[in-house]
Amino acid sequence: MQQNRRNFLKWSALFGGLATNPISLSANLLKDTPILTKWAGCNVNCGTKCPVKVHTQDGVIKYVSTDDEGDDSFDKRQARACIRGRSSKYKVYNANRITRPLKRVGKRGEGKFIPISWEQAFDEIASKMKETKEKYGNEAFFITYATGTTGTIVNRCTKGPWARLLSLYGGYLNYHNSYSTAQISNAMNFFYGGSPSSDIATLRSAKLAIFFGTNHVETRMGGGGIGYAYQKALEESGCKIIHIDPRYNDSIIGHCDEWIPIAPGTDAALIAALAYVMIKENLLDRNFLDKYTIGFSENTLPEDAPKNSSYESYVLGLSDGVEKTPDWASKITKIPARRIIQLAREVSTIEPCFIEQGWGVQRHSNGEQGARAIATLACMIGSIGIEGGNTGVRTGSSKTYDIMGMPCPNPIKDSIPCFLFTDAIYRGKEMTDVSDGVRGTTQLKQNIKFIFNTAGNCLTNQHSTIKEVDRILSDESLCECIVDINVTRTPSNNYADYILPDATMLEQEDFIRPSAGYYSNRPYIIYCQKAIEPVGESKPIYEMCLELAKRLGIENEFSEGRTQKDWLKYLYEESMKKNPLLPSFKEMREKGLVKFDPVKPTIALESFVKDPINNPLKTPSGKIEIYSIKLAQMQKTWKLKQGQQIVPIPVFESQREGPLDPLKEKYPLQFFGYHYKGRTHSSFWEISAIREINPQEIWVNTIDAKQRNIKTGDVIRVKNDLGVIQGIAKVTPKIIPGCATTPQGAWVKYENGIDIGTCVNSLASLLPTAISKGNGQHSILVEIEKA
Amino acid sequence: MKLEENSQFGFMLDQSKCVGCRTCSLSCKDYKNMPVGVNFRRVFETEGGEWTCKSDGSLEQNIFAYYTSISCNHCSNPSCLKACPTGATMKVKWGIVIVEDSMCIGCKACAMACPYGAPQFNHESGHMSKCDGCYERLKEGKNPICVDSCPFRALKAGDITELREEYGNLASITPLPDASITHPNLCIVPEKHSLPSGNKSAIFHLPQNYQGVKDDII
Repeated sequence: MQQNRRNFLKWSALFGGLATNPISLSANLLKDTPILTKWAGCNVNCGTKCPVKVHTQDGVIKYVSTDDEGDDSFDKRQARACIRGRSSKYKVYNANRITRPLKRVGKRGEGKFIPISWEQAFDEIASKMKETKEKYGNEAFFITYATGTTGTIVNRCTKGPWARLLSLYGGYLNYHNSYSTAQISNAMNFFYGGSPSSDIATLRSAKLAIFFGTNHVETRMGGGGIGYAYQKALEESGCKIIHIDPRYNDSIIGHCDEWIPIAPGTDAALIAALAYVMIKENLLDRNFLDKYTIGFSENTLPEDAPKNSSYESYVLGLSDGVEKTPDWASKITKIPARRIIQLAREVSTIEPCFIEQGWGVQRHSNGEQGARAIATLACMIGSIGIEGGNTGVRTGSSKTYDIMGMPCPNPIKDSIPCFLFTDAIYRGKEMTDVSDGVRGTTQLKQNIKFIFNTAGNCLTNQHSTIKEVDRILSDESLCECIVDINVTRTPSNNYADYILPDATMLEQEDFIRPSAGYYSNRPYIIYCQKAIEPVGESKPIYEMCLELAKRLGIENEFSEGRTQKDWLKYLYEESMKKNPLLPSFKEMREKGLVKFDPVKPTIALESFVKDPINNPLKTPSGKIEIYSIKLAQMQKTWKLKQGQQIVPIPVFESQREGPLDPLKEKYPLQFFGYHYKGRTHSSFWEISAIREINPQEIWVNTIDAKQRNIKTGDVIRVKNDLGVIQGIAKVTPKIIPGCATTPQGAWVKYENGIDIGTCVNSLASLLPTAISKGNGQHSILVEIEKA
Repeated sequence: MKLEENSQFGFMLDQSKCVGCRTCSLSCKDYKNMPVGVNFRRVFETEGGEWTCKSDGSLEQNIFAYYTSISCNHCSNPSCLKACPTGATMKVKWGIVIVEDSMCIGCKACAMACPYGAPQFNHESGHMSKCDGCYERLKEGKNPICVDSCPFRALKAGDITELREEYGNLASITPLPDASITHPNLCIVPEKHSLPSGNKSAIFHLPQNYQGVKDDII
């Protein structure tokens, strides 16, 4: 601690507090000391965990670099961190970094805090925990969904020490789903019994590739991700590549052949029309559909399914009287009918065809339907289970070497969809399985009264209708205590009663959890070697939880006598018992970055397609369910919000706030958020060096901008009934007319009722989707005007 | 990478691989410890094409986009050098153009002269500053930091003669000026949509030009 304080005071004194630029002067003062190099990793939730090499001088980070090992041939490629990982120094030394425990003063949500000692923080939080447990029971505790530090062992936000502490203290309310994939993961469970997907490397064998809202080079552009592998596969394949997306995304640059712009949320309409052409022109792979799937045609429907409930009957209009012709789809999707007909012929005659969707398609109020429809297209052409084909699901990893997490034996099984945590604060006891997708019980026993928000910004920023969330969280009689643990101030921790300063991955020893990596065919593990002492009084969450455990009388149960490093060694050595390829803990700790031999890239559903009888899927029928037996049951039993429905087949639903919603009269533009290069969700917004070169821009199409007299650089307002955001316009042809977009994850900041932080979620609805109870946050209608 | 004694240093950019992630810009800023407002490497956006709304409500288009990551090109005929009134801007070993701090009066004449925007005024030091090809790394046989940081391997550095042999001698790409002006030691592998210099039909965008950045963000 002494050393730590000394270093912190040194650079903070030099630069008048938490300046962003501690090096230039200190480097001159400390010329002769050697530069030390340690491994760490970038552990936010882009799905990638890239290695970061930290170069320090006298305890201060001078700069960071990244993986430079190997000859960089593809199978020995360097996992080069992207702009996010490269900004690690700025994350550590940041004007918004929290360096001392803080306690709220004034009204909750005002964002006024005073520094307190760790002792006071631990004593008061422990006492409040005891009070909550006594008054409301353990079901009143909740750890919110969060993505600021994922993929690590000891620091993993919702699976690490906090979950262990609460588990041993009697338990807490669980959550399921994620804000990234709620709808696609549920939809694919109903469809495939999971999310089987081919490795991106197998794209090399494809003759045609169709991507729906897929954008590897922006979402996972770091070398530990699949961006580079995607680009290499495109280079080598020579196949025709088509991207279907409302936005000309950066994955289209380079080797792609065509961009087909589509109105957001209308993918299921396009698929229905493709099916129509393929039925009429006899282009379907009927053998595949009959052998491996149920419910495409009437002949493969389950026995109890009503007549004309198959997908084919829907497409031909036998169920609703509407034929899903290319002309019908053209009006909805904005894609010319001629192109739809051509596409149906291309997709069904060029083999193998690689079909993939990103996660943007499913983040709509009808997202489950879009996700299942795209998977249905993969089935219609039968390009599944073969090299060069894919299931329509987002590609994943071929192999990962996992390390066990800390045991968190939560005795409570009750679980809510994570997007409904604000509902669970004010009406938890009303929430049931069939009305709110609650699992592990039929009805919740308690409202949420105590929140731990660790490394998270979903309390407000990444949630929806932020003004409404403000109303819920500000009411101290609802949730009575909010403890926020983070390295930086955020809009979310404005609502905390206590803020505890967390240490970054550069300031502690930990594994970067390899199971969260997407390095495709070449697994690796990072051991963070601790490059510097934690800034200020910040400390790893293991130490925080240990102190609370002492005060709650469960210290021995919690620690089992282990320090953080002991836990890492223990968990690693337990994992070694299952995986003999892992080197010793000593070697791992010394090397920091360990890469394993390349593995054969996965082909999705290979064994199922070879032998479906002996390798059935985890669906009720054991087959691919275009007609979902479980959804057919839910259709009868679930209680839905007005205007919502559950249909066993992936019909196109005119979504709430979609292009066919009558609300479009008032708010004529479809608006959505996209994943930005400079951030992972809202992480890294605090870093001005990134915001400078990847600024928050609101994309307005040239035609729409002209009608509104908007030019690039203008300050504009985007508004609907839920809120108003303000930001800088970028007038661009790279988005389909009738739509506008801004990168999601900007930090909300209200001034006079207007969010000048340009956070798209200020405009997004809190209404969950019908099936998954997920966040359909891309379904937004707005009007835009000059400020 | 190893440079021979009398070779000329230069960069190669493959636009078909550059996706505008700006890791090059940030890694440079981190390594050189430059403040906000100073960007030795900049990434230009170019986009164009037209939309046609058909009578049936559908849309047709020929939209395109590409990125151009540019630092100093260590030109053979550098206009910054000619503009410098004190001789602070000079060409050194391997034809690298540097600004000598002790001689620079911060008049910005070099910045105004350079058609690539390479010289950058550093408000903290009061001097001009610019890419020096990571001179100290070159001496150790290493690549400039930006080259080794590129997740998509779109950048290379080295003896420009060798780079041109492998990648061609194209540098006159919109939004850059015609190469005949300063003879940049740069070669570009174009994206299939890349336009020649001087084309006025596309939109050019350097995002950092449009808004200031504050740390007051809560």
